[in-house]
Formats: sequence, C-alpha cells, structure tokens
Amino acid sequence: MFAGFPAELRKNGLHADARTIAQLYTLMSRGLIRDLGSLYSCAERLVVKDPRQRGPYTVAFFSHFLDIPILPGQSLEEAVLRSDTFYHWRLAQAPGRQPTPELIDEFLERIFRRKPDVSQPAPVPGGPGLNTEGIEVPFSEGEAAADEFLTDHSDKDLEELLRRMREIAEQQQEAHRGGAKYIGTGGTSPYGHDGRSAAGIRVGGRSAFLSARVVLGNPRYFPVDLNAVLSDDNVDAALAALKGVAERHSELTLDIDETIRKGADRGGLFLPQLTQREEETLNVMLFIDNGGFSMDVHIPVVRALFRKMKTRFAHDLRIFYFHNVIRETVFADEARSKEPVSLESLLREGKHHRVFIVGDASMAPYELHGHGWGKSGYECLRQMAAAFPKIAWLNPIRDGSWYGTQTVEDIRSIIPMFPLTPRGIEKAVHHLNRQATAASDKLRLPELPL
Amino acid sequence: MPLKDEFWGTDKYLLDPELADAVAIARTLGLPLLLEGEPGTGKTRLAEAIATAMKTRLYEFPVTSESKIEQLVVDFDSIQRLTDAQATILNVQLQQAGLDQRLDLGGRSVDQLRDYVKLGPLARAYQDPGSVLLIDEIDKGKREFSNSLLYVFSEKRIVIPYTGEVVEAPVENMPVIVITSNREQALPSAFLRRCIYHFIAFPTPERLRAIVRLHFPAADDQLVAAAVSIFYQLRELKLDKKPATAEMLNWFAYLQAKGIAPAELDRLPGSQTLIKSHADLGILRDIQQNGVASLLRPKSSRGVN
Repeated sequence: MFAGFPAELRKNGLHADARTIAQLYTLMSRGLIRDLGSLYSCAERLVVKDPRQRGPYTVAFFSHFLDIPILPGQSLEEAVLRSDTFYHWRLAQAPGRQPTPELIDEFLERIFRRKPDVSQPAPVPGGPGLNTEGIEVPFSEGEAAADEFLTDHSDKDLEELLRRMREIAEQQQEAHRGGAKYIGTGGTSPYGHDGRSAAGIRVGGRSAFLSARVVLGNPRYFPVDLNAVLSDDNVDAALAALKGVAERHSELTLDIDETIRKGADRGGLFLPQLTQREEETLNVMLFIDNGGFSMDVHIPVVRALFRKMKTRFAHDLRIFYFHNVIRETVFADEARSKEPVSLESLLREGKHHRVFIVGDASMAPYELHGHGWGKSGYECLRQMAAAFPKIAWLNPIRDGSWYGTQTVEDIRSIIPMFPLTPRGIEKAVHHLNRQATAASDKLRLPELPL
Repeated sequence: MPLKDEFWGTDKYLLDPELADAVAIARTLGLPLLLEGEPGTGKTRLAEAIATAMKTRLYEFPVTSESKIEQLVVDFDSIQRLTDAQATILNVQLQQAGLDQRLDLGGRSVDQLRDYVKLGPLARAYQDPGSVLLIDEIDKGKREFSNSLLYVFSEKRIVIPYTGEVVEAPVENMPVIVITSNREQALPSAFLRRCIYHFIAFPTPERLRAIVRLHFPAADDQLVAAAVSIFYQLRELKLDKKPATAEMLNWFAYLQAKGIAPAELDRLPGSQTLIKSHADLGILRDIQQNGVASLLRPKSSRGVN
C-alpha cells in the first residue's frame, strides 16, 4: 500500500526509502496510524525535515493516496475539483449537488477526519460503533456510504489502507479489552490530561485536513518556489540555506610548554595544562555588481540577505561593490566613489575567506577581456579564483538562459556559478563547504597515540 | 510502562495535537525528536514537560561550539588518572621520607579504571528506562558532533571505553530523546533522516491566550485578550527580534504584578520584556509616543491571525 509512496515523495524532492515504509508499518501496528488523517500527520513527521518541505509533501500525499494531482500554482480547491476522485465521490455521495467550496470542504473533511482519540479503538463497520455516543467518525457502522466511496474510485492503495486499518482496529479492540497492551486506558496512563481540558483543545475529530489546508494556503509553506529568483518572499528560505555555511571552532589542547614549566615549578609533579586553541573563523566577502539596470532590482534583497547573516558572521562579513566586472579596484561604498579598495590587498588576506560574487555576468566580451588600463576583468577573476578556493558566483539570471551568453560562459569556466535562488544558494554553500573540508583534510595531522 | 500512551501536556505546558503526535511517533519508533521553531516557542520546555508528566528524570545536555560527543555519552578522564598517578608516586615518596602528609585521591585508585569513567547524560539516560534526554541547541555544535550522534543513535548501545562495559537501551526502554535546534546552521541530512522532525509553528492568538491562562489561571480575561492582541500587532511590525511566547509570558507577569489596565497597553508598558534588540529601539520610541496601533499600516488591520 505504501510501496509507491517513497517514489512519489522523491519525485517531489523529499527523501524517503524502504525505511520510511517500515516505520509507517510499525506506527500502524502500534495504532498510531488509523486512518488517512493520522497517516497524513505521521508520515509528515517522518518525511518533512524542514517547514519548506510541507508543501511538496502535501502534493505527494494527495497524488499518491487520493489520486489528486496538485499542479504548480494550483489551489487545493482547484485540484480537488478537477480530480476524478472527487468526481466519483460526488456521483456516489452527493448526487445532484453542485461542486461548491462547501462540498469540497465536506469531501476533504470526510477523508481526513480523525478518530476521536488514540485511546479509543478505531470503529469497525458492524462493530460497536462509537457514533452512538455522539462522536462523529468517518467510516463507522451507519455510514455504509463510505464503503461506496471506496468501491467507486479504483484507488487500490486507499482500499488496501482502509482494509489494513480495519484489521488493526479489530486487533486493537481485543487488546483494549484484554488489558491495554498497546493502548493505555485512562486509569493506567501516567500522563495528566488536565492540559487538554484547561486548554479547551478539542481532541475529538481533530482534522489533518485543516493542517493540509493551512499548509496549502500559507505562503510560508507552499508557493515558495525554491527555484525562483531571490525576492522579499523567499529571502528567508535563502537565509536558511546560507546558514549552512560551516564553521570551525576553538578546541581545548594540551599545552606542552606550560605543562613542563608548571611541572618543573612543582618539583617534578606534572599536571597537564590545557589551553584553548582558536581554529579558523568564518570570514565572508561579498562582491555585488551594482552597476547595470538589470542588477538594480536584486541589490536590496541581496544586501538584506547578507545583513541578516551579520548576526551569524559576527564582524566578519564585508561587502564590496563593482560595476559589471571586478577590476583592480572595488569599492566598499555603494556609490563606488568614496572608499576604493585594491583587489590585490584583498587577495592577500588569505585562502580561508568564503567569497560570494553576485552579478549577472552579462556584458560585452571586450568589457571582460579588454585591458584598457591594467589587468583585464577576466584576469582579475582568475586571480580571485586562485586566491580563494572557497568562491562562488551567484547569478540572478535564470540558469536556463546562461547558455549562449559568452561572458557568462567565460566566467563560469573559472568560478563556479549558481543561480541566485534559495536552492542555488544552498548549492553554492554546499560547494563552499566541500572546498573547506577538502582544504582542511590536507592539513590534518595524524593523531598522536596517547 | 505502556508504550503508546499519549502525552497531553502538563499544567504548565500546552501541547498542540501535531506535537503530541510527534512525541508519540518518536517514542514508538525509539527515534529522537528534533524540534525547530522560533526562539521562545517552548522547544526546551517540551522536554521538561514530558519528564514532569511521566514523572521521570530529565537528563540535559546543552550543546556549545566546544561540545564533544564524549561529554554527552561517556568520557574517560585520562587527565585525572595522570594526576592521580603522579600523586600516588608523591605519596610513596612522602612515606619513604617518613612524613605523615598524604595527598588525597578522593577514594580513586589508579588501578581501578572504572573510577575514571565519567558517564555523560546520554549514558545515564540509557541506564534509566523511560527517562527523558534533552540535547539542547544542537545547531551550536560542530558538524562532527551531530555526525557522531548519528552513530550513537543507530547503535542504541554504548560501550564504555577501557572497562568494556556495555549499556544497552532496547526500543521499549529508550529514553525519550528531545533535540532542539534554532537553525543557526543546517544539520547533516543523514542526521535529519534519523529523527522525527517537528517545526513548532508560532501559536495562533487563540492558543496564545490559552497558554497565558494556563500560566496565570487567575488572570483577568480582558487583560489577557488585550495583551495578546497588542502582542500580535507588535509581531506584525518589522522588528529585528520578534518577541515570542516566552517574552509574552514575562510581559504578562509584569502587567499583572503592576496592575496595569487593558487600556494602557497600547503604549507598551514593560517594553523591556518584549523589545530586546538595540535595532528596535527606534520603533519602540514611536510606540511609546503614538501607540502600537498607529504604526500598523491600514491594510494590516485585516486581522492578526
């Protein structure tokens, strides 16, 4: 039943494999997954490792378990409305009713409604239904209609899921009567239930559909297109990616000189002395092309992004500006007039800097290769690439349009280039971190035997 | 203890249903629960609340940039042993010199390796079935730290160095492991894969009111409603450091203690509990002169939900 689910998740850029399936089965056997609602939230806990992934996860879930594809940019309502699943359900369950938003809500509510409580056995058709107690449950005795829903649409996975769920529910009922094997009854529960009532949390019928709805309606989770060029909307996503910049820290080491000196002072009693050794700290240089009109729109966002990073980089972020291509002089002020800085002095500052260059890299070839006075821009960039192993170029132009622009190709051949999108920044950061570990591996000394 | 009891919060911790699910899943699969969310939304508090509710012990390990996996799991104190060895020699020399003075070894013996084994919070939690282990702010640690943790989690047992003793925790007895992160740096994806993940969303106004009432049962309803409303307006302003639940509770404690009336809240008395960034002092001055509402653009008056 879950067999194709990991593949569907992977298709949406999430990580899932056979282990995920095994875990879902475990959760089922322990009664944590009882219906689609709890399946939705349990699988989410296993698969989603970042709030940004909730949207793609929901898409995969709807596609796999409900056969409802949600196309990019489509709202949940539209997707449901256009799906066969909904069409068949409507024919069987609500003949003659118009597909209004209310009916869509009803449909989703029906699918996603959760059992009243974990400590209650899931109701079985023909079994002692809970609905007599006034608690609504989706697939209980009185609702034979629900079964029609199953037979009506030919989603085998869903059918299998519900069959399994009924089995488990049966097992659980026995367990429940037999003495709370899986299910803690009120009396033996070590947990206080006070919080629930005091809070007024409505436990019964809490709906994962609402959660899905929140995800789909919320720009924080959903329409953030990780491949869209950086804007105010996705700057936070980019920020999260930038935070992946690895950092090394100080370490306690044995200070041999101090140990010997103090030991000698003590008349031969050697007590190890420890000191803190500072390791490489994080230094970031950011070069922004604020020349052409094409760059204007991106500058405030880029600057805001790295400003926010200042809290992280502490005092070690420096921003420089250039026009079109970096030549022998860059500027620390935005107007590119007051504070010139020679590139050579920056190059001397050392390998350990992480360097980001933001620019569209598009210009007339002579601007890149022409000498004019001094070195050509291309030559300067080559020097930078040689001086800073941890360097990346971020380009606001969509990477599909890079090919064919001569200067983009030229620059890309010496400096790794990534699109200026949250995902592109993430890749750039990964690249820099790999460079960082490669460099430190070379320097690592064999450990001294103790 | 039954494995699958649900945890529903305590008299000081209001659990949302999704988080309750996450706790139950983590316990069932014996996997650590990784919590992320804005600072001040109760990530650390959760571990404390679970321990209180389960009436078991809480083992804590705050991670810093200098944390090493040995400190969390188990460490062998070679330095102490070296010191003791030196002291033992000195004691022999003192004895040979016929002096009475001896250096105190604190009951340790250089030959007893066990005396130098220092169990970390994780090893102690493993030995204490059903306990709760909190690994706080894992993102502050080095990358190697979370990578080593991976190994520990996958083994579910610990071999004590030198003595060779084994501490095992079968799934049923696994401590509930709660890990918190503020996302200061991304965690290795292999690590994420072995965790149950939950992002604590910022509470809705309705929930926040419930949380305030939970902490201040005797609070005046009007004051709660007014304070929460102002609080959300404040969060809508472009503040450098947005106040979160923890700040709200501190602020409310202040409001109650001072007996401040709902009508006075607009000028933000007790702002020190809410505004904590130097960069926000300009906005604070505006608020104190004109009130919070004046700073909100008309279009954001559509509601604070």
